[in-house]
Amino acid sequence: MKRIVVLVLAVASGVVAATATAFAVGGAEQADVGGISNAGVPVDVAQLSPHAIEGLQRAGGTGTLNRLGERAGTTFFAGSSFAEGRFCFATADAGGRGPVTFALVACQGAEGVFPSADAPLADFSPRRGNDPVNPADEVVQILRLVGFAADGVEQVGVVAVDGSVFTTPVVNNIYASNDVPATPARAIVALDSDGKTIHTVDLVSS
Amino acid sequence: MTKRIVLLVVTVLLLTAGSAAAGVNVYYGYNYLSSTLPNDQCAPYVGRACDGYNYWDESRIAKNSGDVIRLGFQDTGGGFYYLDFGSGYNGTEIQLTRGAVGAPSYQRTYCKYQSGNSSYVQCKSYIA
Repeated sequence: MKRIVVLVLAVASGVVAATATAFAVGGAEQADVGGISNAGVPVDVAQLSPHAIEGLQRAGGTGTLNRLGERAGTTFFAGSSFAEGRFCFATADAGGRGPVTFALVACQGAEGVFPSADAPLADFSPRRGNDPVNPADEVVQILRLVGFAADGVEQVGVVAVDGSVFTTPVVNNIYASNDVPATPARAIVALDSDGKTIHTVDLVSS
Repeated sequence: MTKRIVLLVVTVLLLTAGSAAAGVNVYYGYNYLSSTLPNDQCAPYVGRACDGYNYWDESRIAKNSGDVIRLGFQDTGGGFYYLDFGSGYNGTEIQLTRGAVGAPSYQRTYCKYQSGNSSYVQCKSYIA
């Protein structure tokens, strides 16, 4: 009887220990979050809900998670993916109380290319559309701007179908805005310090 | 004595398994999302899979390969709330809450082929 109880407890404590080891780190590996200059602040596992920890593990997070900042009601986190040198991204409601629960969790795999000239944005701006059978009929609206930007991206914009552009500044490699006009959009763009478009995310088929 | 021990162990295992799987519904895959697959899982759409209408909290996808897929929610009025994910997220599982994309509380989750090479995926819904 004692042996079985010890075995059950050992298995249970092993699970807890493994979880704590995987996500209690942060500061020591902060350099792994490099590639964007905002290294953020290490997050202690005690700040995360069990659901958030499970989600990060399922997504492929391996050890570090740093809080990059807060914008327009969203808290931004970045950590290291199982794929060497790649990022995990997470966002949460900045107004949430108690342990952090994530709104979104996504980790890059080995083919992840953010941050780079080819992928200066990790954009998670929610889209609302008709998502039709025929892509040519697609109508998309950006509900909010939310995302991570590489060094060198000064603004992120939404290009409306009528050609007008709404922009929001990138501060410390993150951007967010709740003020995007409720009009059909055709692209999200990354702009440099000269206001030049350096990357375009098409939202509809051209 | 032995029966009590067996009962204890079985109870622990059931509780553990129950909590791990609680609220998760796999509605597609593992299988390919392509321009032709699935062709009957979310009629009238082809290349799209969806769950039933419910109060889902999260839309998830385990993406093993391929190019761009779309993940999100569909409301009862024909509105879709989503994000697109490309090959950079292969080998991972992505999860979105309905709040992350502004979807209403009553909706259905969906995943679909968007562009490029077909993706080998498993699509799931979750209720807390």
